[in-house]
Amino acid sequence: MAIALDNATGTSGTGVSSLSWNHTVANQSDRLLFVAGNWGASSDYGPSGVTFNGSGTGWVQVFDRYQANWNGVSGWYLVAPSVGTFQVVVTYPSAPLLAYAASASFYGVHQSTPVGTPTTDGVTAGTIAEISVTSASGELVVGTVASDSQEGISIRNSGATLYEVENIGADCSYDIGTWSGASTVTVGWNQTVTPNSYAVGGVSVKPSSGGAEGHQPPVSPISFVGAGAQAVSTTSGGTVSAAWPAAYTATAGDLQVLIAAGKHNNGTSLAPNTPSGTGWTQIGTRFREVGTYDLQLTVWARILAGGESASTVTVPAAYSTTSGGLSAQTAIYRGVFATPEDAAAVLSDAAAATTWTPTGITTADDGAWVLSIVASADDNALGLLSGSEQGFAERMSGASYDTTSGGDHAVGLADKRIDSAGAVTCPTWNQTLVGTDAWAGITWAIRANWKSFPPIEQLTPLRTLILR
Amino acid sequence: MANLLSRTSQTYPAGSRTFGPATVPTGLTQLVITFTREAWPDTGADVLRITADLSLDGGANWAFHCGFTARGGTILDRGGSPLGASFMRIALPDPSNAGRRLRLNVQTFASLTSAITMDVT
Repeated sequence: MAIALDNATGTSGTGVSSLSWNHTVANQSDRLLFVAGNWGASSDYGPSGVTFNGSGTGWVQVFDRYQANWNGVSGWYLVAPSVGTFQVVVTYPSAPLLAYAASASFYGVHQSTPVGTPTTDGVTAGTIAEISVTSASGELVVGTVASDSQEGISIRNSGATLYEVENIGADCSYDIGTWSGASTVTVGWNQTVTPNSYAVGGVSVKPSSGGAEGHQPPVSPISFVGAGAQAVSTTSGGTVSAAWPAAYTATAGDLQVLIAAGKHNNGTSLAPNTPSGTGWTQIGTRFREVGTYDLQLTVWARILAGGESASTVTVPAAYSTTSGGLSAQTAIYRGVFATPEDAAAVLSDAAAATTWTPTGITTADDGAWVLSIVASADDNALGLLSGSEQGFAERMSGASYDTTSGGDHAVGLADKRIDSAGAVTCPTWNQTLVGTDAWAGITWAIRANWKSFPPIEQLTPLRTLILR
Repeated sequence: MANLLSRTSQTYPAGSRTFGPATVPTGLTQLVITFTREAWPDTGADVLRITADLSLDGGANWAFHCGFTARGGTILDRGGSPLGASFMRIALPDPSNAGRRLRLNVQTFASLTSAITMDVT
């Protein structure tokens, strides 16, 4: 499988001790996230760490080079980064005068031996910033430069620039780029103003062999596949079909999470009957008194056998009156253990409020994922409150998962990978429209299928990991 | 270029505050956030954390866009002069979208004096 660039972005600054920005990783197989953390300073202020989605676990620093007075480059990678849009944070041990950080995600990358031997160089004066990196046909070389050339730099040798910033602080220029693999690849940049000092680093990224590659614990094998559109009905005895995610076909071993939410006038808790199809387990149902028409959130889950049709939920009579209604929506996860529950669902609810933090959960096994599922009693276009995401990623949110049919309500789903078992705090949800309304929530943890990793003899030897 | 925020120099005690939201004119693609460094105290730790949130729908929904932290004390440039400002620069998406809004969340961990600007180009 050929290596392909997924996405690249970055940022820069002066006098900062960390930089953070969003990076989006697409749902592709055999993913790798590469980060360059470069700097300009009178001392070696190489980054002390990198995080993605709030986690520093799994990051490997593959090179670090400081050329005294004034430039430094460092390269980091993470195998199998989470799919979605998350914060990248590069932290420096002190505050360098100049800072540059960029991220590039790739797919089709070998998951157990993702990179080759890195090369770095630093020179106090030169016209071309250049190194030779050992590579091979079919590989892709990633290189980055910190250059004294405040007037700019230009990539050489048929390289492709991914994120270039010139003249930061009226002083230096930085770039990250890629080159096609060959036995030896010359990674380089022309420096517009010469002679100039520079630091350069590069490494060759190796392609996957096409099948499911080995994986590098402790990265969880679980991944989010997609969420289907919301469907709503207010007809007693009618059915609501929880659509599959776009372009998805039911696949053996995947976990389907079906979320039904709505309002009814039963007066006490009333969950709809089990959805159509086989294998369902009710994860939980939560009732919240609102008034004449109350809020109810119910979640079921099952492991798919493959080839199933979209499930339907029948609308109970109490959900069908003028201000009633029932919605159904599906989310799919992959790499989940056949007995998917890691920790029993935690149910909670709250009175009318614009924001709410559902009760958290304590996971049992490393690599579990926590799902925060909520509903609110109006068409509130739910989202995570900025700054209080707790590392969760939104999967169902906004106006696409609320309704004004019958009894208005809204649904939200967010999830988070938990590398080490323990207590997990839920994110704070926010009613971005027509708040303030009541809440119901179900927090659930799903267990990783570690057996989806290859046999132990195929894993990277421990000695190799240590040497890295 | 458009200036979305321009606060003259003043002292901010430790705490949090939010500036904006401000409308981002269409066609502009770069965001620059600048804090002047006016004798910031050297506490051995970060004295400032900022995050910028971006809305693409007129302020109905917000998402983190970028941020930085900064330490106090004196940072010297290559000429030996104190660095005058901490800033970050980053791209802004969707330049044709008239619904873009920005807001700036500022957290100070010690009392510090700064002028703040937020420009888009």
